[in-house]
Amino acid sequence: MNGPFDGDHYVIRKKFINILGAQFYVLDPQGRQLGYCRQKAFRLKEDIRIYADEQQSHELLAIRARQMIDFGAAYDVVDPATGQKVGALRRKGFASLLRDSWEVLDVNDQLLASVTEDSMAMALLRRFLSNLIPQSFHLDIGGETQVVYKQNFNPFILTLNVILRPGARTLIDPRLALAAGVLLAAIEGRNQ
Amino acid sequence: MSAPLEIPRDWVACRCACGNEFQVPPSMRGGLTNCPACKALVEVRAGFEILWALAVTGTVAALVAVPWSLWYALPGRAGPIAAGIALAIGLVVLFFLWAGG
Repeated sequence: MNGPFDGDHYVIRKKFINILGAQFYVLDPQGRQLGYCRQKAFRLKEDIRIYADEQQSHELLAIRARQMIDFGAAYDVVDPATGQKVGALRRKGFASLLRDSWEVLDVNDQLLASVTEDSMAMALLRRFLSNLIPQSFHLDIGGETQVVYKQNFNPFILTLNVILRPGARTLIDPRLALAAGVLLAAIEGRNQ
Repeated sequence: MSAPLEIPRDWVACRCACGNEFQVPPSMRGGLTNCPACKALVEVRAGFEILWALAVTGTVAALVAVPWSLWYALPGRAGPIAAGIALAIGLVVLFFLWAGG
């Protein structure tokens, strides 16, 4: 495994103490750091950058909101090294009131995949009974689950596992799958 | 000879630094796209956000209404002090919004 996006299993872990804005680590299953992500506070438009390390010397991925209000906002995912857009992710605002739902879009804003919370019953339980129930999401392409996002049970530190099914990277860019995981941790995690 | 492709009227016009002009769907307003000619990253012009306008209007209204009501609701010197604190907090929030944006 060479590049930061070569793996099929990533772990996104939120830093426990955050003074201004959330910080996340992108790790491999063995706990080795693949990336460091900082969500700046007090931004009119959400702007999340994933760096190779905490010194923020090498930028791996940029996620930038199109709108200032998160409700139903879309986020462009860009590879800063090449300046090429990888795709976009759009939160389905009204649908997410009851069950978190996102759309994964290609570079031309065409629907590529959908990301939804595991089940309506669990989603309602999390909203109306206890938000301590870990969240899990699945990214589906053509009705088939290709990526699973599974939160660990830990009320203090948000940890989200991003697991790509075999062959998933032929259908979806792993950078887009990881960006979806970071957004789920940053946006949906904040709502918890 | 085939007719040129019709571009819907609501598509957003973009202009790249290379001089190429092209249109993108309205859903891309405020986002980023690559120029079809040179592949450079181009910002798409943002549209009017009704939710943002409502949020700003509400914040400004709160900035005025909260200190004003504290000033008159609390007795003695507590009113002006609480109003001053509320106003200062509101201005700090506005400053960070401005600085961050």
